[in-house]
Amino acid sequence: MPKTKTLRQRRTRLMREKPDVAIFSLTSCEGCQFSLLDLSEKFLELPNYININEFRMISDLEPKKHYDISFIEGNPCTSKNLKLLKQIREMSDIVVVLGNCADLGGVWEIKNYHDYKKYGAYVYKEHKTIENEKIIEVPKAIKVDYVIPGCPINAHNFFDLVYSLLNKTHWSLFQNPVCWECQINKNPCLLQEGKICLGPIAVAGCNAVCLNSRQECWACRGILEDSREKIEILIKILQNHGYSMKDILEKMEFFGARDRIEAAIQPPPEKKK
Amino acid sequence: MNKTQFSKFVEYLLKNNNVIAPQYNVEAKLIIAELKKTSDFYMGTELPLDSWKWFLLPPKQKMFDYKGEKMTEALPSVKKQIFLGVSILDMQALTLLNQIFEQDPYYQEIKKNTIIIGTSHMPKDNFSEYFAKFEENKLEHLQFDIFLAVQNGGYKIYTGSEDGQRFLDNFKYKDYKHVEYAGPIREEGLDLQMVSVMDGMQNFHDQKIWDDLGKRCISCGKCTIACPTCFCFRMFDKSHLEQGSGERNRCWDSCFYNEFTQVAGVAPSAPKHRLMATTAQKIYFWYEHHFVRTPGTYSLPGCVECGRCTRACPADIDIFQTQRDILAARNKKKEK
Repeated sequence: MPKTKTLRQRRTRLMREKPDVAIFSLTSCEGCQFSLLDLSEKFLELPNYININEFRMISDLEPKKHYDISFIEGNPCTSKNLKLLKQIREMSDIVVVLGNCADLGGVWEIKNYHDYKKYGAYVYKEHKTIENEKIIEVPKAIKVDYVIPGCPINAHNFFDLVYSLLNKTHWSLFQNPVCWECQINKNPCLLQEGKICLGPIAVAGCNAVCLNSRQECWACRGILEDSREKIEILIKILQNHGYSMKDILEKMEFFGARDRIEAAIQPPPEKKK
Repeated sequence: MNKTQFSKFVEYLLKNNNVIAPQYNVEAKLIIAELKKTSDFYMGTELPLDSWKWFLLPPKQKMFDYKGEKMTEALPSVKKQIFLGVSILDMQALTLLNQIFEQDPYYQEIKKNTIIIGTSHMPKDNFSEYFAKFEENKLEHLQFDIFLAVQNGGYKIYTGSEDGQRFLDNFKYKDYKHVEYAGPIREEGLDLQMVSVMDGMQNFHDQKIWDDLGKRCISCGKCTIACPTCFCFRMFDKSHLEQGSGERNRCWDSCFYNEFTQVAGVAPSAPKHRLMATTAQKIYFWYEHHFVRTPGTYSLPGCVECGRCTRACPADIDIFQTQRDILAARNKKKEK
């Protein structure tokens, strides 16, 4: 893909009859791919409009040299993964990140916040043969065009994006917090009950699934834009409930949101004159 | 109507209709939901956590489908529904919503098929001076179909519409009094409490109140969802799989969210400008809407003092305390 092309130009290429689509999987639990198949009726409609050329959940297909849209699920944990990731970017017009592992680093990223060399040696007997590098998020490794977050993704987001790519319409996630959907679903507030819930700063769109089952939100869909004020107040509220910073950070680490939260509360760089 | 007659009346309503009423859920939280059996129905002074707007103005609503240039309106298809046990405060909120959505076909379609049965039960702690005591003459400024005024050993029945009268006639109950809706404005003029808070916010602005709230509020927007009079929504389009087809929807939104006041340009590529950048501005805007703009436009209080926002707030912001602060700042400045 020539680097000069803008997203708009790359999207116009989709005007061709049937775009070639690939769904790649790096290191992950493959739950996001399953959540697509959970809406099987909707999924089975797709082959009338697009060619799915790579999706190992359903069959072994001949690999192609070029894809119009590539979806990437999972994290490039190994050097082999990372090489494949760079290849995908080169042979695809549009790259879409699918799920928390690719977007925020997922549970893999917990090790970034700890002494992972030490833990590697503790867990594995032959730890020298195990690749144990720092986890990189896909949007930091390559340029991505769209992100569908979540663990697993909300498959409706996937279909909405595919439909709007086919129709050349605008698609983006709502920048609303999880509290929005949680309160609409009439759930009791876990923050009021004194639990560590990151709902107020996390991106909605999941229909507050965890909170519907009274499980606190750990921000698997990432955090809201411009949320510095919110995060600072949330931390203050949690500290008033008696939690230490260590407890709060532990919850933020779980789905890899901690680095973004820490980056968001950094004071903005001073403008150069 | 005595208690036995009343339970027979509830059974009669349940037999043929979709009755929506306050009831305790499995977690012992009082919520409004479809009533399955008479024994679940809660009638008392406690206010449910959610409000009736869930059933009149659904959280997400399809407005129309389009294909090419052809548009098909998607009016909601609703069965006849009965709101049973609407507190007098919520009736005030519904009266306001009726006015705001007077021209809205989607709201009116649902409203048309809704019977509102109110009660004079009042929550124990509330800020409203006007509704602290129920009096018959207060009913003519509220929109309802049937009203149950609590009396010793039963209820005194009022009707507010022909639909309500028909229901009671069919039930073969004759002992009711009809109250004709006389518009929102009372004989004695605007609600005094409403006017003084409005005056406090407009003419005796105290920035300290809002700066303090801005430091406490996490702008989660739960208050706006819980509020029975908050109605702001956002529109969004969704494409369908077929070329050139899609739908337009609207869903509830909140002025506390960043995109609500974002102007110029499509997110996320264009530069953003927000009319309200800080939390203090957002919370001031919300209070201003309820205490200044709504009374100014509709001559009705934008806040019915139900305290739902206070109960929903994870940051313990108390709307009654804020009103007291506004009034205190007003009195202090007036004395000077």
